Amino acid sequence: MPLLEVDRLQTHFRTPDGVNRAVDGVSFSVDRGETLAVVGESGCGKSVTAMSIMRLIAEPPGKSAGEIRFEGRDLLKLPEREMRKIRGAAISMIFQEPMTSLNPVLKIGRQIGESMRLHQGLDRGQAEAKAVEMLTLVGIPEPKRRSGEYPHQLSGGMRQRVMIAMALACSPKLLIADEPTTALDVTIQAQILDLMRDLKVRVGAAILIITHDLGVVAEVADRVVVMYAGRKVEEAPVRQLFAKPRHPYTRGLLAAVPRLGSSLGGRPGRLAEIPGIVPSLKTKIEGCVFASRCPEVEEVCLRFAPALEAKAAGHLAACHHAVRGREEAA
Amino acid sequence: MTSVILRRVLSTIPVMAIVALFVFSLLYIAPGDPAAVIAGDQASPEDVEKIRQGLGLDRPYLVRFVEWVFQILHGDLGTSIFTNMPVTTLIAQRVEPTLSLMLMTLVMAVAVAVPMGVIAAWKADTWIDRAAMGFAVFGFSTPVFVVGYLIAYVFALKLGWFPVQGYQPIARGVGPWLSSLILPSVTLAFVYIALIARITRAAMLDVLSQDYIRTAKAKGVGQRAILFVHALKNAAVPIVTVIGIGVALLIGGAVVTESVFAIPGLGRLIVDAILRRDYPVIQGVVLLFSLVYVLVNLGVDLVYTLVDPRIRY
Repeated sequence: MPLLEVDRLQTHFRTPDGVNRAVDGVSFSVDRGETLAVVGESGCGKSVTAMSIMRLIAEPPGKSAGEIRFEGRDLLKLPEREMRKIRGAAISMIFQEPMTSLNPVLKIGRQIGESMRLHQGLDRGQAEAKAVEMLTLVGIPEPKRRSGEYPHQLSGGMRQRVMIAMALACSPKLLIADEPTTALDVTIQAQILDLMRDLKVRVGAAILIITHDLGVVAEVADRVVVMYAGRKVEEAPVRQLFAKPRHPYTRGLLAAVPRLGSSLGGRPGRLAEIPGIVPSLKTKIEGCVFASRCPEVEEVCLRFAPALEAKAAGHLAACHHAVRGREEAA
Repeated sequence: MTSVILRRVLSTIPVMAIVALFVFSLLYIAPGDPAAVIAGDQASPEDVEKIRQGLGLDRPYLVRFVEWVFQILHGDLGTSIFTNMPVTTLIAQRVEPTLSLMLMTLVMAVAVAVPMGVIAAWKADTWIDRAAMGFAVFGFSTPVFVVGYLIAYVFALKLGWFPVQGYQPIARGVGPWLSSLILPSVTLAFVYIALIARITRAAMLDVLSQDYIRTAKAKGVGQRAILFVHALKNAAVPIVTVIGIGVALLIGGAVVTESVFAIPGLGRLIVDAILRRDYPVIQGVVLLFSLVYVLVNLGVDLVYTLVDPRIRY
């Protein structure tokens, strides 16, 4: 049994001008110890998916349907009390914005210790001692002094380390990282990714990493889910996805990655882009969600939504001509 | 920290000097003449003039001001024109009821208003929020004397739970003291509660949408701890500020409340003094009120550093 199974998850938001289908029937699973990356551009529903798993979607206006089975239990059906016992303990989360995700008026040590006090029943002294240990683990120098400091006394990279320490404090089985490196500069990004990889092995957690950065994906993921307009359009092991992307959207994403040399060599090339914009999630889309931007669009794409089909072992894509398109391109 | 406090205390001196000048000048240019009041309706202009000379009111403005300031610096607020008692003695007699009233109101208002604002923010846009804010608008827009008479009518006259009027010094026992203070404090607290609850709600709404609240939820922190630990401490600066500013409301409200409930406090003292143009008493009480206000807000500034580690002086 996989650790986490997201099954036909739908998270919709009621807005004054219609229902926003931020996540519309997404399924995937995460195995124990595995790293799954969810990629897609802004607004594709990847963060909402993460928030839905944590049940942190404000309701109303949001509403999640489908099933999210964690160790066999459907999280969407758990009472809030039970869900609180899971948050920060079995499943924890790291957010994009280390600068604003820590409480500015509480000491670092207290913030890290809090989940251990809540979930493991440690007293204040024990929790603070454990917090210092966690700070050591995430490589913060002078952990004892730092644990007595406030977030504004730390740099962005250090704060993200603190967030990681906080998330790993109760040795979670699943760590959800929502764009953990996006707000950091490149050298710090690499450090944070290294740290996550290292700690994942030590703690034995599975990681669900949400990102728009394919560089990050290549570096940490075992498998990849590509989302577009609230749907999953492709899923594959990471090597296979980079080597043989089946969905035109994935190919577009890969082509849009800037490569060193491509524009610096003789001819100044233009960065490839995917033309058009993400369709509004408030209107129900007939046919393929990507049809309006797809270079390979055909009559059938506009009429029928393509089903997710296995194109190779462990490789799913939702495209009417995913295989053929690839062969032509190859 | 001690040097900070010392510096801030010293900085209140110029403020108090300006207040003193202002109070003195205001009374100087205000119409009305204590000599005429003392002399009565039948007195001739010559009699009034004689009394005025006796009181020293005929001397130039500047001379009188300098003399007054000189007195104050020696701890002497002057002598009442009418009772011939030292102003400090008059104030000392009246300070307990007013201080009791203000403190009681402050404690009561904060204890009610802060949770009310927090819950209104948590339940924003529900009927709970609307009820709380409706109450706040009502509390803010109903004059103190209306609330006072209504409350006195219901709880003192009809139900007989509390005395209608008067004040029992704490020396006569905490029970009677509290019971004599409850109705006036509730009356005075209305406006104050409205003010604090509204600001608390607004500050909390802002804080509750912050990323770190989401982080706390993701850690599995319960609703109550989110509201009262993670959020309230972040919302504290505007709340503490408005509590400090609101002390001005308390001072103004105390004057009216003391009249409604016949409490022999500073409010009554200053109202009587104003009616009789008893300059030294008016000046003394206003100076005292100003000092209280300045000190309270000095306290507020110092509380900032306790609630928000980013604030350092």
